[in-house]
Amino acid sequence: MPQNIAPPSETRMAYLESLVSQASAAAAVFTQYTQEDVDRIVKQMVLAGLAQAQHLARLAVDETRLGVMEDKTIKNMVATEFVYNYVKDKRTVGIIREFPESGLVEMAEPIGVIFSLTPITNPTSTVLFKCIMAIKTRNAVVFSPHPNAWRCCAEAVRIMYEAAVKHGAPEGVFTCVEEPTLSDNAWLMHHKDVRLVDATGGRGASRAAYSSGKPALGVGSGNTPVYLEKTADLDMAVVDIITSKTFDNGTICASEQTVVIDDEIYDVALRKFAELGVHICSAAETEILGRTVIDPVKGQMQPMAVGQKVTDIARMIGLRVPPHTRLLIAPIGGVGREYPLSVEKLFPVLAVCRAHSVDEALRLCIDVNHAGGLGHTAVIFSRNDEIVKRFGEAMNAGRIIVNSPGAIGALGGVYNDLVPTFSFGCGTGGGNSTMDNVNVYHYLNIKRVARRTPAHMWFRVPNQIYFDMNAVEVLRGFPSSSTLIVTNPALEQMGHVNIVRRSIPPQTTVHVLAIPDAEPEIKVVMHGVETLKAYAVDQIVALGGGSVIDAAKIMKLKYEFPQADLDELAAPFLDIRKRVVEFPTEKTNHARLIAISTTSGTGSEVTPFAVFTDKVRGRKVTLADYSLSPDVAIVDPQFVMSMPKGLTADTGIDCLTHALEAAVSVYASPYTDSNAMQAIRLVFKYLPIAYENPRDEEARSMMHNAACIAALAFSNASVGVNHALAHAFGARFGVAHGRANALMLPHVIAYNAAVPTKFRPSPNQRAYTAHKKYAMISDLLGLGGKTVEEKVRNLVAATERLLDQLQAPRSIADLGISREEFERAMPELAKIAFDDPSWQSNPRMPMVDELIELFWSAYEGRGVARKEAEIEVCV
Amino acid sequence: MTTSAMVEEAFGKLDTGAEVVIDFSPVRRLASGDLRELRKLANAAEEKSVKVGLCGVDVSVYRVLKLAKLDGLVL
Repeated sequence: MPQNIAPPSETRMAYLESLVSQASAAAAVFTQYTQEDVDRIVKQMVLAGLAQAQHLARLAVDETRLGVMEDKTIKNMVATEFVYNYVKDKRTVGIIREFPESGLVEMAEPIGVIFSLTPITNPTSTVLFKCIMAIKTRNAVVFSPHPNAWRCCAEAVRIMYEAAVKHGAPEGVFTCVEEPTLSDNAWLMHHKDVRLVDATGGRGASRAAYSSGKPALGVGSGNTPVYLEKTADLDMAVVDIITSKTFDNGTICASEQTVVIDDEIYDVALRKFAELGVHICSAAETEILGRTVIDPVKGQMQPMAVGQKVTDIARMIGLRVPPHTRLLIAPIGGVGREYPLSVEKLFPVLAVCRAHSVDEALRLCIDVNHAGGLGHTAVIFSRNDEIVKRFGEAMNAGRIIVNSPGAIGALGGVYNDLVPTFSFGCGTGGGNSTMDNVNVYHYLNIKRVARRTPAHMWFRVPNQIYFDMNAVEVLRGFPSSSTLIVTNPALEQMGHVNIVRRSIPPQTTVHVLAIPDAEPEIKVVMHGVETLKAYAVDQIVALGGGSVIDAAKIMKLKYEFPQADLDELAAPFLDIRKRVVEFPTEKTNHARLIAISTTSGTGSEVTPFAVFTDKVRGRKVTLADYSLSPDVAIVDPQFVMSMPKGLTADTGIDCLTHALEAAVSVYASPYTDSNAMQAIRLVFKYLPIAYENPRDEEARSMMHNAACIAALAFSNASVGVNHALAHAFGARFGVAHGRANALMLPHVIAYNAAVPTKFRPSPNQRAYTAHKKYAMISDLLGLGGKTVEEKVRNLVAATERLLDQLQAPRSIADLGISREEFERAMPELAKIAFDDPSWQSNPRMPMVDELIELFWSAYEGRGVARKEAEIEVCV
Repeated sequence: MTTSAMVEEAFGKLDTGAEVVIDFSPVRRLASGDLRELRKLANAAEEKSVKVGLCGVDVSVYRVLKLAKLDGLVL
């Protein structure tokens, strides 16, 4: 209870408690009702309300002394018939909406007991409206009408209640406070069983509702500006404004308050108003009217004027007007305290204001809107769509009514398709929680049942992959007028470029760009782009290892899309399907990219990735998008026959790491698995042979295929924590990528096979399967073992044996890095590894401490063999 | 047998002093009057220090009892 309001007496409290108690029981019982139950009851209530529309209107006018009986009858009919028309087919029980494509289902949950304040201006219509909404949504309501309108409201509640209960609604579903007081309202608003306060009325009621600490629907007063623009249908506008402003003596808070009229039509508009029985006040009459009907201290309308007849208001200022005068129009010079009539006037007095330009008119309307009407209603009469749009943007109003009467237009359903209501939300501008026309959905809690929706999977690879010895000869089939071969100086010297050149059709002009054999720098890439432009190239042949092919991918990107911002395109992302940055699609130039790999590791000839170095900023930038994938890949082993042993080992281990990580990735699929498993099998079989006997054509060929096949897998399933560790370690200590991978590999297999400390959130991971995948690989390799645990151990041991065969360094310590140096580097290493996006597809989400532990295991090396017995495989 | 008849019958057993268990399994829907009767029964049982319980309560009926704060009766 607010401190400034005395609590009700004990007797009164018991009375109020009984109202809430009945409503609570009814609300509980109501939860069992079906949609058919409530729809049947609602229809009968609507019929009862329609039958009593005039009776209730008469009671309201008699009790409140406000408004017009005939108009209140129409309001009561709108509150029943029009509201029914809106709600009758709406689902408000059980499942109310389904979105099969997104796996979402919305279900209705009733609120329970609603405490509802209703206004003096629209007393019975508001009650009828809220009763229908409550039954439709299976809620119970305790009504507290305005103290000067409680009898007519109690009668409206009785009529609705009897109709509802007669047709099956729970007893006690509506109760109404008799002779309500502020104290009653404050007590009820704070009652523990009241779930929602729905306050329709003045600003005070709305504020009290929001101050109660309960969820509230508080909707309040307005001050509707009207712009009568020079292109308007003037005859229609004048009739609409009179209809609206005189409806129920102007008591609807959405009714017109100040009409801003373009100078060009100002005089003719006033003449048309006068012709239809409107009295245009003189300056003196306007001045005295302002002093009389507006409280000079508060700057608000005087209650005595609200809802009164125009003749009575005229009499208040000693003005004699003909008995059938419809409205008083008071010309004012602007908006603000010096123009008292520019505020809300819920009686048949309308201010008008002349504007000399559209801008001035809009400014004046904004002033009216801000003088107590924020969030409520604004009206425009115009045939100029551009001005209507500007008006809509300028007004802060939940209802912007075009070429229709404000009051009846805002009610909805009569002049437009707005939701029929007797409660206008005014948004935050009006201090309200909603800007909507309050409707059944505000009387519901909407539950959302969200089914698991795994990300759509894909398997995307280049259109054409040619493999086996002399596959390069397929180049003859690719017509081109200007081809640029991007390569490195060593390959040029070895004669590889000439082999390629011979396979290109003779009519093609061939150019060669040799770039350094290192991760490409941006200046190298941009030089390449200039070369492409200079030769108007339509085909790029990238001949080299990962660095050369990556450089060619970025050259093509910048050539085809000069506007591409590499920094922006390199922005990090968690899920490629939801990434913020999109790669461009509108090409300026066109060039086919054919990638011929000369190493058997990166698989860059088929991957959608490209890495470059930004030396100016001292960083490595990774681009990822399927548009980067080469158009054609040529996997021709003749280009790897002379690879040195060290490079064979490093690239081969890189290939194995790609395949192993893709196999256990959270994005692994049957498509990637088939490629990953085959690549693993090929590596275990042929890498030792290619290493020992570099001229073995079959081994070289199979390893070359394995690298490409593994790349097909990780292009779609991505890699994992091994790569995150290797990237960080390799960059910090200048160790080749494949070698860095080798140092981590056995430890990462053991790590991924163990019970995860933390699972990575991924809708595609239906179960933790990394250990089982490793066991499958172990079986594929024929490593033996009966249990999953044994098989994983055998795979780790086999990997270690393979690394030994390749004479790969088996510990970081073996590289000559001291323990102290490694320890000093560790915080930064762990940070960089954790920031690396590679682990995001790892089945086990690495904690930073675990990354540190993995680094130390790799430092010690051979630890896995020693700890074999300790691997706690996830079972 | 209607719910109110079941509750009425339970009233009659309160004076025996023994625990009263009402088989609610046939009950599929409660009316406001049923809640009133149940509340009266709960109050009367408390006064007489007799335990009253409902068994076999359907889920939607349980939800009503929970909202009406009568779920303490459910066994």
